[in-house]
Amino acid sequence: MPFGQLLFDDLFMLLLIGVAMPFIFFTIWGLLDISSIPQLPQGR
Amino acid sequence: MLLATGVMTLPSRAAAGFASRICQATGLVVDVAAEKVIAANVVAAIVFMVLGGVSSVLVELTRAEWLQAMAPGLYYRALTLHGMNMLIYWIIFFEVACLYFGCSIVLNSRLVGVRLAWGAFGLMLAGALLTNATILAGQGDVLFTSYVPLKASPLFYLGTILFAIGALIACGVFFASILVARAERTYEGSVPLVTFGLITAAIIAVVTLIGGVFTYVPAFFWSLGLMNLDPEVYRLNYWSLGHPAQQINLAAMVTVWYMTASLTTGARPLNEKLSRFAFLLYLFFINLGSVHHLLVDPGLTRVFKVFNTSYAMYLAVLGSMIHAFSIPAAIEIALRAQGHRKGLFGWLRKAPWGNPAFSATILSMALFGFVGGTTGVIFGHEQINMVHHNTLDIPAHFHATVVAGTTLAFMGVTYYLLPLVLRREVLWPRLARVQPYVYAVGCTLHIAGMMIAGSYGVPRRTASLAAENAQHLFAQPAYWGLALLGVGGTIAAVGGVIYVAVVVASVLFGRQVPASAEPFRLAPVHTVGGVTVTSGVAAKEHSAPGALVLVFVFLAFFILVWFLNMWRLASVWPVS
Amino acid sequence: MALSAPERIWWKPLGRQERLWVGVSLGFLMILFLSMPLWPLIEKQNTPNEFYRVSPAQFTQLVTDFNAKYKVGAEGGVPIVRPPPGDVYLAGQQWRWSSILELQQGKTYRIHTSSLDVNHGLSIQPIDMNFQLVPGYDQVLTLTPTTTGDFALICNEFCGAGHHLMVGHLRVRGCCWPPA
Repeated sequence: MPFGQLLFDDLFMLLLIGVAMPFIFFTIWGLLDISSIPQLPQGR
Repeated sequence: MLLATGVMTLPSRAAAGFASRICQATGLVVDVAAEKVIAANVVAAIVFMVLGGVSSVLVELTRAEWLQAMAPGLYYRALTLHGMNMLIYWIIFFEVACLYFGCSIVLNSRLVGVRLAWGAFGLMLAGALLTNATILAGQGDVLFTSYVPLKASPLFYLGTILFAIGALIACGVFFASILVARAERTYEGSVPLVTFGLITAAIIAVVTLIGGVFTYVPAFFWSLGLMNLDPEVYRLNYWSLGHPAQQINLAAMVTVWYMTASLTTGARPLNEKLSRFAFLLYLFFINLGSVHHLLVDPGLTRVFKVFNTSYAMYLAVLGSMIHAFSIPAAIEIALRAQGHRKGLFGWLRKAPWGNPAFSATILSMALFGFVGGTTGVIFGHEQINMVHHNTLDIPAHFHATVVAGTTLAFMGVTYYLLPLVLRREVLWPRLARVQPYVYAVGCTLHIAGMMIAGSYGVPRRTASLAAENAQHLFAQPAYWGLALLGVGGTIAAVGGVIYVAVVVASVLFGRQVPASAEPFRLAPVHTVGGVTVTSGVAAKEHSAPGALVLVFVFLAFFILVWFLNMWRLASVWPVS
Repeated sequence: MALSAPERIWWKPLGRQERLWVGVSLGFLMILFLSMPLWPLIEKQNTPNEFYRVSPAQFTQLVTDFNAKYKVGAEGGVPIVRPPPGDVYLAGQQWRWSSILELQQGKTYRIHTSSLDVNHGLSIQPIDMNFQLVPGYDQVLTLTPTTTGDFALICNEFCGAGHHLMVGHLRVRGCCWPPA
């Protein structure tokens, strides 16, 4: 059985990668971006 | 039309341990208990579609400016109702039905946890009714996006949470059923492509529903005054739900395309590896596109935006490009094998245009591809987004994907679900035959109207342009666009009414199948002109020159849309 | 058929037409991708990338001070403000804009934008440039108006019952204006 084909049949791996990708690249990275915004200096 | 021969090998343990019947048309083993849950979900889907449809007419006749059907307050309420019912309830109930179909009937297996499936149905129904009631009571005029700090009644968020938990349970039932089917060996080797596509949709649904928990649980507590919620964090979390929800539609719609192409013309996947790879690209990358809504937001850096808005260097778009070729090519090869070999497009002329499932599929593919897909990618271009964000161009884009694409495809496959799953003869076949055309023409005009108005900068989600009119702000063509929006929307609504009428009449009054033959011929799926079309090899039978020409025309159009938008962007004021 | 199980081994090479289409598509998509990072080298329209956290109270103070300093008149209760090139403060709130800005053509302004209550959309029409205002955040638009005329500021994010009434003004005057 070709390795690629086995990969496509692995339901749990697909689920894991499918959920992890947006969680890491969109949600986590996005939250990091938002949380690193500086405060507008007072008295400008 | 018994097709229990050929590649369709009946499973060794067919009908073992669960009440079932053999489908006369496809030879598949049908779990009777699954059938009932599927029917319930389809019926719920259509009920919510009616609710969303009624509100859509009100919305569209208000936006058509010269009519002003509703006062602003009511307009925003109707728009909230329209968004929730069409984008969430209609489509997700229908998708849950598709999931149950793909994990049981397609695999010749049973639905595991039928009681859980009914429980999920109950939760989804309760949630949908609660949210709808809250909106109708005027306690949730916050639109589909419900951006914090615009506040709705806590019941609005609670209803959405209940619905999400129900849908999450439905996904669990789907995955469990696939695992059980594998353990019980009701299928050999890999799952069929349709099930693989539905697995993609289900995993995207899991992403969506996790996003839903991150979004609505804090919003619920915030609405009770129990916690603070940062508006930008809410926006980020919201779109980790809101956009993936539409990617479920994408994956489910493409799956339905493969299914209806098979059922109507006997098409077989061109190359299993290529089609599955395309689904894999969706699975890995499509949900990064959630940032499309946040491109002109404060707080997100350029690297983040460019990487995510392009779904990791447009790899997910490559998936769509693959489907754009592989489905028409599979149809072409099947029809050529049936003897329609004349010229480049002889097969297209001889295609079963009178079969509503076929016409719906082709119209859905054309409108999704040319209008919805291209605009989705181009409006999501980091810089180009500035000249489209929150204008009517955006609803124009997603009505081309979700309405002219997904809804039309789902309408098409319903004409097979009726005889095959609901076991009802399709009543009024003549009406059914014209339905996809009416709906597609209506959608096209409606979308064109929005696109025209949007290109003049007319904002979306706005009850009236009276304040803008006082300044003579928009050029006259913008108002022609708004009028066209109304005309097209009304025609589409007629198409929607025909669909609902045919389905409801068939379910209530249609004769039991197989008391009579299906009105729409099922393609001879196993004997495609006596030719076995295998994947990946056999160069002669494998050639699809017509489809190849079509996709290059599509690519040229795509590039044109891109260039026009870059030119438009270059004409605005320098900004950074 | 897409509904039936595939052959046992379906991991097979692509046909010639498939390879051609995938290759051409991938090439086009890479160019499309590169057009985003490379656009700043070609033209000057880029999404803003300067943000600050700012409380609505602090931003209200900034806007009040700014309006008081550069106010030249009022129209319908909204101050008309004529600032020199540099920092400008513009707030959206239910359902009005904090000022009518009068800017000079060809000069560059750093327009601090924020919302004082809920999300708003800042849509400059009919030139058609659109940005998002989120309470608690300052998005700085480094903007150089190059065309003169009267422009409208339309809110294009739903912001409550009076959303459609939230229309303001922005004026851009030629180089030698105002007359000395």
